[in-house]
This record gives sequence, structure tokens and C-alpha cells, in this order.
Amino acid sequence: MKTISIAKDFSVYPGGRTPEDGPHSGREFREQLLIPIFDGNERVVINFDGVRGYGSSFLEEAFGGLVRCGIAKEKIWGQLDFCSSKDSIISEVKRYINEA
Amino acid sequence: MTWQLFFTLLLTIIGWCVVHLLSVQRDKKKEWREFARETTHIVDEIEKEAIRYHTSDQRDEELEWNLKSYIDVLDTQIQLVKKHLNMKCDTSYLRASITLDNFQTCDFTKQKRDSHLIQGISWNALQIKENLFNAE
Repeated sequence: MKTISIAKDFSVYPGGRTPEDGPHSGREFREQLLIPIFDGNERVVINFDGVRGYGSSFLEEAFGGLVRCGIAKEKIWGQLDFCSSKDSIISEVKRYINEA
Repeated sequence: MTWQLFFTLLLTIIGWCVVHLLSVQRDKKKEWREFARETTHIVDEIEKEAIRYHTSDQRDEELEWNLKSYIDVLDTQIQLVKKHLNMKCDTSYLRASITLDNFQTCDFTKQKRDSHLIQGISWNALQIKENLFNAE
């Protein structure tokens, strides 16, 4: 199973919601690394560890934004797995996907 | 040694071991409860700094990174407490109340002390502190 590590494949310092807010935004992460996953059917693990703190705006824009981009929640649950040493990150991401 | 004496000695040793193990367990729980109560100081600090950030005239990028780091440290400590004590606590609501809106944004707006955002931060900080104080 393929793994995307946010720290290794994107940035140790994830930023805010949009590129206008600063570098390494949630929108950039979604467009560069998340959206291409749904071109295929492969399951991918998103690893949240190794980052110097997340802002909720980053998490909401990256993952809640997938639903707003038209990707069905069933497809997201079917293809994405989440891995983090902190339960609160995973519960927050799942909440944003459900509420989007 | 008669079997009665042997049996009495055996029961005494087993009893001592049980009492010792329970005592060690109780001491460890006490230490973790103290750790949980000390963790409330981090929550206080996060609440204070978050309110300072949102009520500032301008966006403070250094404080943004510091706040995210403090929340990360809190998250780690709460994970540890949850491993050793019974506690229902999710830091994600505090993180969201601080960093979901008006955070790391070019549209930063100074908040009033009685704004919904500031009240939300205080409410979520209080919830975590209550959970930490009641952890058993």
C-alpha cells in the first residue's frame, strides 16, 4: 500500500488554508498530493507524523476540501487510510470529511 | 516443617506480594494524576496565548508556529495521560477553536474579548482542564 508522509512528501511546516495565507497551504497539499490519488483506485495511507504542528485550517482545507471538489465521501473512505501517533489529528480529519 | 506451617508461610508471601503490587499500582496512578493536573498549566498557557493572538491588532506569524507547537505538546501529554488513566478527552476541539478560523490567514481580523471565537477557545480549554482534573 502506498504511503504519503506529509512531513517527507510535502512539508514539516504545513501552513494555512490557501497559498495567499502563506507557503505549504492545505489547498496546495490537496491539489498536489491528494487529488491525484483519486485518478486511480489504489488505497493510500496518509501519515501525519513528523510535522511541527497542524492548524485546523490546513486540515479542513486539505481534507474537507476534497468533498467540496466533488470527490464522493465513499470514495475518500474507500481509498484513504490515516496514520498518526496522535488520535486527535485523525478524529479531526474524519470530522472535516464528514461535515464537508 | 509441617504442611500447615508451609501453607501459612505461602499465604503470607502471596498476601504480601498482592499488597505490594496494589501499592505500586496506586502510587503510579497518583503520579499520573499529578502529571494530568500539571498538564492543565499547558492548557492555561495555550488559552492565554491564543487569546493574545486573536485579540492582537495584526497577524503574528511567530506566535502561530508557537501555538501549533504548544498544542502539539499538549496532544502528546494527553495521549500519555490517556494511556495510564481513564479520561475522555479530545484536543481536536481546542485546536479547531484556535486554528480553524482567523488563523494563519491573510484576512486576519482582530477579535473582541467577548467574541464567539474567544468564548469558544475558553470553553474548549475549560473542557480539557476539567477532564484532566477528573482523570482517574
